[in-house]
Amino acid sequence: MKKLSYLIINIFLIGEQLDPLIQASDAINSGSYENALKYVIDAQKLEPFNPDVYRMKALLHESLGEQKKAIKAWEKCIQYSKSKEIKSEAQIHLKNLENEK
Amino acid sequence: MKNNLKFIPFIYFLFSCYNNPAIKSSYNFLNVESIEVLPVEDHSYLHGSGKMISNSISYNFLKLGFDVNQSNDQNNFIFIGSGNKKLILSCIITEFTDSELIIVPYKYENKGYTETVLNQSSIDSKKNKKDTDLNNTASTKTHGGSITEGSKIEYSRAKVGIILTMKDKLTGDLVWSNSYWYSGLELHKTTESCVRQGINQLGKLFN
Repeated sequence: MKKLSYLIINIFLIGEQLDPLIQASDAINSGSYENALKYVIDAQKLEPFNPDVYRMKALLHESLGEQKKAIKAWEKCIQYSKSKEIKSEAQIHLKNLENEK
Repeated sequence: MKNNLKFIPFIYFLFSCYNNPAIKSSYNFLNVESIEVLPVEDHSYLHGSGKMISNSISYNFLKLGFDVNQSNDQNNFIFIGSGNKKLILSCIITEFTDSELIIVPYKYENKGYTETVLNQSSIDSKKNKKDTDLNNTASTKTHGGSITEGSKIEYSRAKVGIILTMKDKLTGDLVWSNSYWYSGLELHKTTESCVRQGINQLGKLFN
């Protein structure tokens, strides 16, 4: 009796992926704001209560000239942040964006 | 409880005033003829930052509808009205950087994976060598994945801070002062937004 053993299939369907926040920060540092925004939106799905994600998103919207979206992101940032410094920054941005309207 | 509620309007008042300028209340801003804008000294971070701020001040006054004169190499003049008072506006740059590091903690997501192992064995029959029996077994393992605390990521952004001070040219009295800062991803836009906050607030004095 002859035995043949084959290890035929070893499939890793979904493996470890690079965190979208890492990709977003890389894109920001290289000046690719539109790509960075895509990654930040992915990061937001993963961490919907992280104020830093909303701050990053708001800064990107401002850089891309999207005032209304920036206002929404800063409001979310205030909602989830416990840091006085971040809240103060968000208030300054909101005031400036409201004046720009 | 009622006593605590009494403080709520006071807290709102304080919050709304936190960025208000210091003003000499007895000064008549409606009797001002012009503002002389002194040259702005560079911040140590960037040569030319003073000129950037100075130009932005002029631009924002012009945008508010005031006449701006740049005939003097050193100082710019903003014409306000038909009064007889002259003011001097000075600006100090407190922050000027395009590389402030922002650190963001992130969670690391391992989405898991599925592993399938197929074992195949064949048994040769001695009686009939043409016939071969095949045994196939397959096993599948699914690793669920997990979300764990990861490290921190960093990105750099711009931050600009200024202090605007205005005094009466004749008496030397300090009549108005406030500080502003703004953050952003690009230095130019951040500078523009920072100065605009100040000049918009200043412009309201003369209306």
